[in-house]
Amino acid sequence: MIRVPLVRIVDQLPVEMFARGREGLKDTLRPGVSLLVPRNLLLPHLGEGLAPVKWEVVADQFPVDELALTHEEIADRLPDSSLLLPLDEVVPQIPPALLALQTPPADLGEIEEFPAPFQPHAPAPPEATATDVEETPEPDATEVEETPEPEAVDETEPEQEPETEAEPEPEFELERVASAEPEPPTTAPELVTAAAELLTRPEPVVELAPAANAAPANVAAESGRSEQARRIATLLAPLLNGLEIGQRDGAGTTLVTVVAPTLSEDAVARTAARLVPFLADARLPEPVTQATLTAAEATVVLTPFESPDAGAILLTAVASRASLAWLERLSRTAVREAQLGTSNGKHAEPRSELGARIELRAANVPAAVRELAGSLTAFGPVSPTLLCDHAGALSACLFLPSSLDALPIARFARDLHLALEGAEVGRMVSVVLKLGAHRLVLRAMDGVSGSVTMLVGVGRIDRPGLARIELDRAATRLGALVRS
Amino acid sequence: MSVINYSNRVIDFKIVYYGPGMAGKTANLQYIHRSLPHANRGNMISLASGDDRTIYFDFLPVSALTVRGFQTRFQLYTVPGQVQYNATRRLVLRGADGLVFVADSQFDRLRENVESLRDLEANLREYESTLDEIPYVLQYNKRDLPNLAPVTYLEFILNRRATRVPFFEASAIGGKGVFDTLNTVSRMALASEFGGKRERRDEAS
Repeated sequence: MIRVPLVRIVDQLPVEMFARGREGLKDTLRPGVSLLVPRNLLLPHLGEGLAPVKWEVVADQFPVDELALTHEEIADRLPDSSLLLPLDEVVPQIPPALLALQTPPADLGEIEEFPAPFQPHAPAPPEATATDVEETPEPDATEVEETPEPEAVDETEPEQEPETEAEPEPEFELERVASAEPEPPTTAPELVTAAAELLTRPEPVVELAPAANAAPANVAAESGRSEQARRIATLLAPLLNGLEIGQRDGAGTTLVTVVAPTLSEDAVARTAARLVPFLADARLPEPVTQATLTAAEATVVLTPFESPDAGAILLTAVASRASLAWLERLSRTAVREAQLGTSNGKHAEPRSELGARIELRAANVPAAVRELAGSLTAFGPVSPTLLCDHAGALSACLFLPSSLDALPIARFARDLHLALEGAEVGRMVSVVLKLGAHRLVLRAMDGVSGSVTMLVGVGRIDRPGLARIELDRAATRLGALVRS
Repeated sequence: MSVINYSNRVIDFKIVYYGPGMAGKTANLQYIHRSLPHANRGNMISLASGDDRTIYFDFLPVSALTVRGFQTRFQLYTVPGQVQYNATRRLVLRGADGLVFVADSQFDRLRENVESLRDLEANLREYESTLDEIPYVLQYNKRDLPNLAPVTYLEFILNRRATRVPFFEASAIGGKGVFDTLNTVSRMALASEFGGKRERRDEAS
C-alpha cells in the first residue's frame, strides 16, 4: 500500500463535502492521518508522470458522519472523479526495481572518433538570467550582451588532438573562425531567419513585398512613423499566420492595426478606442508606453508611436495569449525610436468622468490583506490600500510603492475599469500598462460581483510574468476573503 | 538536415533544445554563450516574453571543429515551452540535426515533461520523422533544486524506448552538465553525418 498524508491532497477536496465545514476538515487533517492506496492501482499511471486514484478507492477512508455529500456527489466534483496523489509521496514508496528499465543503452561507440567539439574556455561570469535579458532597456532582449573574455586562454588542448598517424581521415582541428559573427543560419527555417534579422537590426532593411492583405493604397501611411509601423506589421504578418493589417483613425489617433483574422477588426478597434484616452492620463506617474488588455475574447496590445494624443498607435490583437507576449515585444521593437512625451508635456487631464459619481474611501486593511502584500515579491515593496464605495462595499484593493498616492491611481483604475465595461472583445480580465520601468497591473477580482471591484499592483517589476502570477493568486485569495 | 556549402567548405548543423516551459532550455544557451570563446560564437538572439519566457526561440550560432576539411558550425535553438506555442515549436524543429530534450527534474513538473515529450514526438511525425532517426539526448535539469525526482524515475517516464538514449544530469544555470550534453549531441550529429552510419545509409540508398 502507498501511504499519502491527507494534508497533501486536501486542496483537491471540495470543502462542502464535509458536514462540519472547515472545522470538520481540520479534524480530518490532524497530523498523521493518511490515505492508503493499493500500489498496483498506481503503477499503470506512473509512466505518464501521474498518480491518480479514483474517489471510490479511497472513499471509505473518510468517516461517513463527517460527509455532507454522497460519494457520487463528491466524485462528480473531482476531475475525472479522481484525486491526484503527489508523486514525491508515491515514488519513494515504489521499489526501484519496478521502475528500472531493462532496455539497452544506445551504442555510442561511433561518436568516439569525434572529439568533443566545444570546450568552455573559462568559468562563466555571474549569471545573466532570462530576467536580465527580458528587462534590458528597449529594444528588449534581442541580443545578449557580450561578456568580456578572459585573455590568454589556449583553446587547443593537446588531448583534443586525434590520432592522425594511424588514419589521416577524418581530420579534426579546433579552429578559430575568421569572423566572430557566423553567417546567418542557412539551415534555419526562413521565418526564423526573417525574425532574427528583424530583431537584430535597428530597422528592418529587407524590403518585403506587401502582404496580400496589406493595407490598401488609400490608407497608406501618412507619416514616416506610421509607414515604419506598417512595414513592421507587414513583416509580422507572415510570421503569425496571416494577421490582417489595416489602418484607421479613431479616438483622435491613427491606429495601425494588426489583427488576427478570427477577430473582428472593428470590435478590436472600438475596444482600443476605449483605452486610448487613458494612455496619457495625468493621474499616472508616467505616460503609458504599452498597454495590454486581456479580455474574454481577445488580447489587445496598444503601443504608441508618439504622443498617444496625436501620434499613431500600433494596435495588435490575437484571440488568445498565445502570440501576445511576443507581439508585445515586437511591437515595442517596431516603435522603439518613437519619442514618447514626458510627464510635463504629454500628460493629459483625465478624460473619463464615468466614475466621477462614485466616491472612494479608505478602509481598514485586515491582516490577511497585509500578508498578501508580502506575497507580491515581483512588485518590490508595496503597501496595501483598500478603498470602499459610499455603501461600504469593497471597490478596489491596491498594492503600491509608498512613493505613489493611492487615490489618484484608484480613480484612474476605476475609470479605466468602467470604460471597459461592455467592451466589444468581451469581459476584461486584466490590463497591464507599461509605464517606463514601472508596470501597473489592473485585474478584475475573481468571483466577486459588483461593477468596480478590482485589484491594482504597481511596481518596478523585473519579472512581469511572476508579477502577473502573483497578482492572479492574490486576486483569488482576496476574492475568497471578500466572499467570506 | 545538415547543410553543406562546398565552395566555402562549411557544414551547418541545427541543434534544437526542446522541453516544457521553464525547464532551462534558454539557461543552457546562455551558459554556452558565456562560456565559449568569443571567436567561436555569434550573438545570442533571445525572444523572451513579458512572462520571462521564450516566445519564439533563442538562437546561438557557434563554430567548432574542422572535419574532413569542412568547418563545422552548430546553430543552437530553443523552442518556446508553453503548450500554446506548438506552431512555433514545429517551425523551429524543422530540419533539426540533433535534439536535446531538457526535462525539469522536480516532481511537480514531471507531467509537463511527459506532455512535452509527446508533443515532440507528434511534431516529428508531422515531418515524417521520429526520435529514432535523429541524434537525441536527454538532459535532466535543475538537479540543484529540492523536491527532485530520482533519475531512475525520470528514465522510467522519459527514456522508455527500445534503446535508451544518453542522459545527463544538469544544473544549467550553473553550467553543470551543459557542455556534456552539447558535446554529446554534437558528436552524435557529426557521427550521423560523417560516420559509418551515414556511409551505410548512402550505400543502402
